[in-house]
Amino acid sequence: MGILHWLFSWETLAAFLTLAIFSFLYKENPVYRLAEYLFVGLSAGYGFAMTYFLAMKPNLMDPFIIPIMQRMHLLGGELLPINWWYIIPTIFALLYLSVITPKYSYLIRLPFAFLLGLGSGMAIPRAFQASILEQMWDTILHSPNWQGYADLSKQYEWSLTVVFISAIIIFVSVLAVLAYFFFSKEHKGAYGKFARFGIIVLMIGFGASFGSTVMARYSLLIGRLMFLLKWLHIVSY
Amino acid sequence: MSFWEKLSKLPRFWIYLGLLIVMILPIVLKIKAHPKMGLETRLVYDYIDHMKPGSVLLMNFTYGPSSMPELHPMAKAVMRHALLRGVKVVGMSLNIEGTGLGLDVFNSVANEFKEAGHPLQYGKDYVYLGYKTGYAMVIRGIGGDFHETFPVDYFGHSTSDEETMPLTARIHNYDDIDLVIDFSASGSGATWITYAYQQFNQKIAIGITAVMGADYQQYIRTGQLVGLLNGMKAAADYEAAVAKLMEKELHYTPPPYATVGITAVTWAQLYLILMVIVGNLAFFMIRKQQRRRR
Repeated sequence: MGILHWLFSWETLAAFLTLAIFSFLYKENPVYRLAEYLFVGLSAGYGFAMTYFLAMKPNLMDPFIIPIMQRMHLLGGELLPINWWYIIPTIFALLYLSVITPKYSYLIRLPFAFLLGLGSGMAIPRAFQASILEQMWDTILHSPNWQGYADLSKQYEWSLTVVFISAIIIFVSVLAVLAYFFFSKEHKGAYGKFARFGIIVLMIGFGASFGSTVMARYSLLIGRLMFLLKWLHIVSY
Repeated sequence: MSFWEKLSKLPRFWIYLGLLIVMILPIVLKIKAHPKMGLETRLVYDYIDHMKPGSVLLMNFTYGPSSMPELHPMAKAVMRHALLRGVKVVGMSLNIEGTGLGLDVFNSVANEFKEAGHPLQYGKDYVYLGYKTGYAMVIRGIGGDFHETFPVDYFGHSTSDEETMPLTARIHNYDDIDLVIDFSASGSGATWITYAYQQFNQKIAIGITAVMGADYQQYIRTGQLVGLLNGMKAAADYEAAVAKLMEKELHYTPPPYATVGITAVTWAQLYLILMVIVGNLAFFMIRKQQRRRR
């Protein structure tokens, strides 16, 4: 009974699907395909159901569509109040479907324009501040500030000399990388060597990213291995 | 065919098999790592460790099952740590996949505290808000009016009800949230920095997969992040430190996950380095032999 219960459990199904996906390491096969299609189908179904219940229902159906349907006697239950303001986002949402008819497909530009305008207006100034100005400040202005060095030294528990050398390395490296991407001047002589240093800095950066990526992929594999070992009752965590 | 030529033509199957054995051994033998906590992780640990009892930590879950091995143990360790320090924890999700995983973190940590003889009270010690669509609009919305952004929690309770949900009833905007920590396998960390930090000066920490680690380190130097939990290494560091705290204060040992996993990662990395060295050695030796033959 114990073995049967284990054999026909959800864990066994998950383990079978995990092994089916791993079977691709050997070669492409129908079991792998089955698991792949199942994954795509389930993900789409789960995503749709979750989007409906967690996003569409509380934000559109409950405050607007369902109360209207109740008043049209298409749905029963306790009468819910109609929030008429929701008519504007509802029309905008429906305009996305205008693409179905070639005659009215131009109307899709309205919600697109609204979203793009809103998104750009919100994001550009703050993203510029967060990802460019703050980083430039840290590289150029913050580094020669002795109090800044002292703060970094305390935060990183490094000596002031190490922090100072680190700041110089960052400053010179940033200039070298920028020089590499400056194509208006030919990469020759001293400038060429400086630009060459820039590409070395980039390679070091890519190497660090690649090392981290390999570690992350191992971590994912370990997650599955731990699941399989737990399924086989070899480990208990 | 020489030894080096045979070695260079070794079928992939044997290399994968070797990797599998190297990874399984530390898990089966339960070899726990005792890593030295990295600087970026320590910054987060110290910040939470010094939070006053009663202060609020907002945890956001923006990852799916594919990133679970790295981010799930990390999130659990952070939640355990916060609750041990008397910090109130609120959870939310900005993507659909993260909703169920966040709930799992909250339920399993609450169960651990119950097993340890320190049951937590939902609504008072922790609240799970669940998913809210809108991404950047949600992050911005919390800064304006928390209750308007999240009128109800995941289970449908009103977040402004002072009797059943005293924790969320007192949160009005970011002024009432002491730290936001975003567990993410996407770029949501940058979105939190862009909107919550730049606009509302909210303290932010992030927990990310190792793939993204290099992209976020510069935000610590500038002070835009209080710290960074980077991949399974950070998860193992944090898990080990919090496990010690729990053993000391609650006489309860939480199940290890990342501390065992990181040993397997280390062994696998060493195996990979060995394979790269052997592969290169074989390449040069074969070239040398070919030159001699000519």
